[in-house]
Amino acid sequence: MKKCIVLDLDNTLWGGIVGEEGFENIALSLAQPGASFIAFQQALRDLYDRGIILAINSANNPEDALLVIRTHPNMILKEQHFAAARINWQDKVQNMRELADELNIGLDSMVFLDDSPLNREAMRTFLPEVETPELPLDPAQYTKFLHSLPYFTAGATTDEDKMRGNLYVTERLRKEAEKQSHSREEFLKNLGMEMEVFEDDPSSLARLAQLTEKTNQFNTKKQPLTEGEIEVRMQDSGYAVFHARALDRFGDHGIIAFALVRKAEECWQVESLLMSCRVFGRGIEDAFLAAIASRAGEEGARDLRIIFEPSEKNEPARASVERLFGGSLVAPVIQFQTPDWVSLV
Amino acid sequence: MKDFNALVVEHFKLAPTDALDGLNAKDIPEWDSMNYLLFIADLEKEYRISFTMDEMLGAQTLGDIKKILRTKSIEV
Repeated sequence: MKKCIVLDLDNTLWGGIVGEEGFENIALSLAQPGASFIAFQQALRDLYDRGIILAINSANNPEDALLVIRTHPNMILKEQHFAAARINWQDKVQNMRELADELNIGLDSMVFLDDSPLNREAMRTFLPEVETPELPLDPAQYTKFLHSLPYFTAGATTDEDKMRGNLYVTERLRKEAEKQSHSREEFLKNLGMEMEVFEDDPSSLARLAQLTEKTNQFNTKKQPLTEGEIEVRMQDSGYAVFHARALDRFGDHGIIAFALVRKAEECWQVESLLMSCRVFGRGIEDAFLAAIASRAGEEGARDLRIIFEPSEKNEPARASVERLFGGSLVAPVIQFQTPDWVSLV
Repeated sequence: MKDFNALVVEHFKLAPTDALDGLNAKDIPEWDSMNYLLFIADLEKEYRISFTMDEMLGAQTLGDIKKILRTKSIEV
């Protein structure tokens, strides 16, 4: 477990070198490549909100760097988010030792992120206790890379306010990317959507209960369940409880889909299917049902059936159900396909 | 060009006379995260402007949004 991320600035938190190119010319706008850096900052901000300490270790004129941090209108990370900073022309290894002292934490609880291979090599050589992973060459991959690091426990956020901050920033970047794409298909392909499906996994009961209570639009049958009720279904061999989390290059959506399925030999029945409104229209429902259908197929079922109860608000769910199951609300399991722009992990 | 109040009415389902500057997300049931984003996106399209992240995250009330538009020389 790591406690602290120590960050370089130029080409790590923003694109370009502020000391050379100037405040006006660094890449930190909503369009690419700036959007990748904004998304990365938001992902770091989410870690900060979960208690990870952030610090700066940068070779820069402090006044240039601080001007960006204090006044750039698209900086997601502000001065208050950094517990300590070394912005100077001193050796970064020495800076790192000082940061550990100032923060009073062990070097072995620190992770160093820097785009320069030379700086990383120096850190690994002189301070091997510090975790210094390779950073992807393409900043568009920074956010996914951060999510892939094994040093921080995942823990789903349920705090609405914090989720809202993330949603505002990442959805805005997605909308901008969509605006600049030539087609919907190109946009979806470039999103790099990844989905992970869990079956009878009790690690996020609170979030699942919250979804069953709050989801109205994409909900095939509104049926709020408590954590305990969900857990009982998970332990019941006659049922399977699925949930999914999704991630794309702008950020982590967290847990966004839930399904309660009654198992039977010939035909599995989806008693309740719901999805957070922030992801619909991007093929997540197709991929989620394909994963469920594939599990049903593995256990010998031929068909998947769904129960749909119309409400005042669930028209979006009806449209998808009709598209995927047809009017009879039942379809062969082999018919469900994962869209090629969604990868299952 | 659609005027500001027309967009407020459309996105937040308010009666035109209810679109007061002091209103915030707590006062307006339809002001959820998604609708707010769509509203901002529409303002950007309608007035051909762009909100910075600070502006978008910082606006708490309809009046705040108007103030931001005025800094971009939009009369509202």
